[in-house]
Amino acid sequence: MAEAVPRPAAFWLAAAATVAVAPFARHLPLWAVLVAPLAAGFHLALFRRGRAAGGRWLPALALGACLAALALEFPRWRALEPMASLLLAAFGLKFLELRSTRDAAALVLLGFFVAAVLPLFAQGPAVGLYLLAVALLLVASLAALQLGGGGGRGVPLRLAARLLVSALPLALVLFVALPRVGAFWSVPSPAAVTGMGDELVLGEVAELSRSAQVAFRVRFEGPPPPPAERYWRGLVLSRFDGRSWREVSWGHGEGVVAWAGQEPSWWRRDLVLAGPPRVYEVFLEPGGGRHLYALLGSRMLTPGTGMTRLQTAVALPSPAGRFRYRAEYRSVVAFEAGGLPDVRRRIELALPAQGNPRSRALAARWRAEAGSPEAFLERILEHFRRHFAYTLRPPPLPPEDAVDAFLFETRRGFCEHFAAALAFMLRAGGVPARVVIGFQGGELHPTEGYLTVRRYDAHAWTEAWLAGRGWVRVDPTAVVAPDRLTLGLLGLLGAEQVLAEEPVALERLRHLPGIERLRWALDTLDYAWGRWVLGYRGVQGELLGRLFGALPPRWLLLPALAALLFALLLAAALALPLARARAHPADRLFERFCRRLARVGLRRVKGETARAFCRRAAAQLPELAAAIAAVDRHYEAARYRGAEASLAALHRAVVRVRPGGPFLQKRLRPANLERKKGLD
Amino acid sequence: MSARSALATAPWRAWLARRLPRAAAVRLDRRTLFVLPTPLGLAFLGMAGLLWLLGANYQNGVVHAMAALTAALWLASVFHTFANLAGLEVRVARMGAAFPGEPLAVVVELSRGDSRPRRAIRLAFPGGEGVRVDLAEGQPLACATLAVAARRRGIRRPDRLAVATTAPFGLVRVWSQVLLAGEGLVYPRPAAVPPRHREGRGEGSAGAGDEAFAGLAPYRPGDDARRIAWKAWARGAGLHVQRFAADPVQPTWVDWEDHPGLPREARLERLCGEVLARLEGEGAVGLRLPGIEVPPGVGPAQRARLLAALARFEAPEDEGDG
Repeated sequence: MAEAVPRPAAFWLAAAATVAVAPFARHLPLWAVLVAPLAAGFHLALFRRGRAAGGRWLPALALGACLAALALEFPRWRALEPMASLLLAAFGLKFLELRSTRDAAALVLLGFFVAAVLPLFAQGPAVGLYLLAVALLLVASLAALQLGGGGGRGVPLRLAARLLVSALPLALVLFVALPRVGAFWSVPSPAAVTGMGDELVLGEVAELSRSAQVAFRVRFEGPPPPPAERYWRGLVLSRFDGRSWREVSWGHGEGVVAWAGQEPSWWRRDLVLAGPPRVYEVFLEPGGGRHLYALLGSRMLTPGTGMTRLQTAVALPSPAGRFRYRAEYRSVVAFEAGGLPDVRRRIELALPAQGNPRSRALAARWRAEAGSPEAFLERILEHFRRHFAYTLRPPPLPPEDAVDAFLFETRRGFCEHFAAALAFMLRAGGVPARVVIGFQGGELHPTEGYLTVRRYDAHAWTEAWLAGRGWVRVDPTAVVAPDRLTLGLLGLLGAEQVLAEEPVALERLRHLPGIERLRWALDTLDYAWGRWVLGYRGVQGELLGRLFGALPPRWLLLPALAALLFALLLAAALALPLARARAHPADRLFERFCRRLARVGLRRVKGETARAFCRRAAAQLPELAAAIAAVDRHYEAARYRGAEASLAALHRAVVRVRPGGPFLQKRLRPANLERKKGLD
Repeated sequence: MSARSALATAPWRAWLARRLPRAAAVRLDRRTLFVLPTPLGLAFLGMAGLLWLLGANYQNGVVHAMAALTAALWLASVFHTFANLAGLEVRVARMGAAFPGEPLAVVVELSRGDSRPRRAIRLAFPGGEGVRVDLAEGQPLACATLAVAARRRGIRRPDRLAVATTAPFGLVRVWSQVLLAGEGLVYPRPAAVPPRHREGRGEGSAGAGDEAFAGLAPYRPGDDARRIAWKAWARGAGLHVQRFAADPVQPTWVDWEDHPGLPREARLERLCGEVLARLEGEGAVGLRLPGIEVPPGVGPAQRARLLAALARFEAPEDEGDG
């Protein structure tokens, strides 16, 4: 293995390394990404001049520089980014020590590892293509190492493509059948991407997120709920300190969370449900924080997840990255209609001692004028309907008395403004109220039937507790802009305004029919990828159960082995030529010769060489000795010296061998035989 | 390679001798080929395991898919490497001749009934240098010259030949150990010849130009091509050479009976030394062994004939390292 690296192998390795590190440019510092292409180029350039790659000092110096850059770039080491950067740098620096085929083989293995780290940062379907491309180039490097300098330029790539094609069915079987286990030890994760915040501060975020990124997808078993009912609860914010709305932490105790498969006593007390349960399945995309989303009246079905008394979904441990869970929901007739415990009531009514005096005064006046909490609520909503406008770019609000500023001065805003202002007014009027944040709506796939909820579907609404009715959802945004619910944000405002952050999003072109179909096709691909590749761990048991559910678990090995065997046979068929190699024409003629001799009882013994058989035959049939000797001579020449002319001579010699006396001789005239040549 | 030397133990050899006995030609197929991972292949599988661990720890489906893909690549490469050797037929095309202690050339021939290209096939006799053979697309056969050690006088059979490949990906090694038929000659070790035997040469020397024509003799390989009687050949009488009066009429004979009392091998070594010494002169040299007579002649072909007769005489067979 200590041979020099053939130049084509170095070339393919450089190509593989460049493709392998390129997508990291979006996630890691640029210098770490550039090490591999630069070092590979350096190696190739020196190679051309017939010199070994860098001396001893160069790799050492480069390693020192990389370590220094790492130390400067990352304050802490135990995170994914510095480790991945280190891996990339080490991978690149290995090119400076590329001396023998052993080094090249090590580079190939490192390359596979580098490629497998990318999915920790990005997981779209494009990553699948990337992995296939890198694997192809790395295998081509392996082939080039084996072939040495010879062969055509494209041969390694062709060989690699053939290997990849024959390996894909096998990979599929292995992927489906390989056991999925939980994490063995805790690992550093990529830095969190900002998603939906854990609090709501009126006026702090001047603009709503307008990303078309997918937040989650939902597959309904049965018809999906109508658009106006698609309120995906994320967090319930009850603690108000004058500026921000926050969650009240109740923990995960038995009195707070109904875990999957359990039905605590408070569940039946809190909720009055109607209608049949309908199952849905949520595929949470990464980057949206660690919250789960569920419809009101849901019960979680996936183990490890549960519903709190606030009707929000939780999971333990909280999901990082992609997560899939199932739940069933029923129509809610009443939610905590039986009354609020005092502690809860105090929290849901709490307002700071001071602040927003004008709003408080207005609320007190309207509450006094209205005969009931319901009428009071109607009054506020009517006010919103008449005097307020929906906009994604509201005027800025001051940090102090923001509700006053919104209600009396700017009067323009989006869901958060309306929800927070309404909750404040209700509390100021003595009605328990809170803010719920999550998502509203989502786009139904025209044929596949699943729902895609995007970041711009993020929403905030209010819940008011009314005596006798319990918690009632009040969405002031729906009052101000009813189309927000039925058409979605995009329908309400148009792509131009919503997608300011994504100048190239396909959503901008959705009015073009072809584009619309393409957009859905891509979305379907993304969904399938998420369901079958990314979230497969959750699907695996269910899928295998559905396919082989009737089999007892110990028999599950059988279909797995059968599938593996099938894939192996397929790979073998793809690797080995399908058609059986035809016997050498000289062998076929010799077979004919043997058949002729067999008529008089002379049979070739197993293992007997052609020559030995001919000698034996000649000894037994002296009258044919000359003809048999000719067969031997021409067979030798035709079969082993590749002499084409000898083939014809062999044929002539074989037909001259006519054992068995005159009767046979008469029948087998040479003229007849010549004509029958093609049939033999 | 240490793994292979560990395999070269007695039970393995005995099993191999049953499985792959000596044969005129061996077709490489399921029955005759063996597969083992290379060190790189083992490292590759280890990497697939590491990726699976990475996927499990990060609960990442794509990394799981990558682990499955690498494992599948390894498995599929077994078939591709197997296909590189399967269907080939190996035989020894011819073997040379040599004195004891010298390398004896073995021309190994690879042929096949299909036209797929075969790449980077290594042929090696135990302890010998390997030779790389490639078969281009459509090329019906390829030959490689290897060497076995010529040990003692007699007939030398080829050692067990290793036919192996790790191409096209280097992840697995497919190989066979074939014992092929073939016949190489090991000449006797030439003994030093005492001076008196050197003198015993045929009298007269071939002077050019002034010889008298003395008749035609049938052509034997090794005869001077310039003396072929082309006219006779043109008449259809076959190849003859002209004999001249100046030709050594008295050929020298190297005779077994000249050295009574010596054991067989020592006697042959003595004869061999004499043959070589006499051939340095210009006269025709013949050889008499019990029951065998090589008529006198000259030239390299005669040298080969004489030495072959010595090598074959009551020849012990060296079966090679099976």
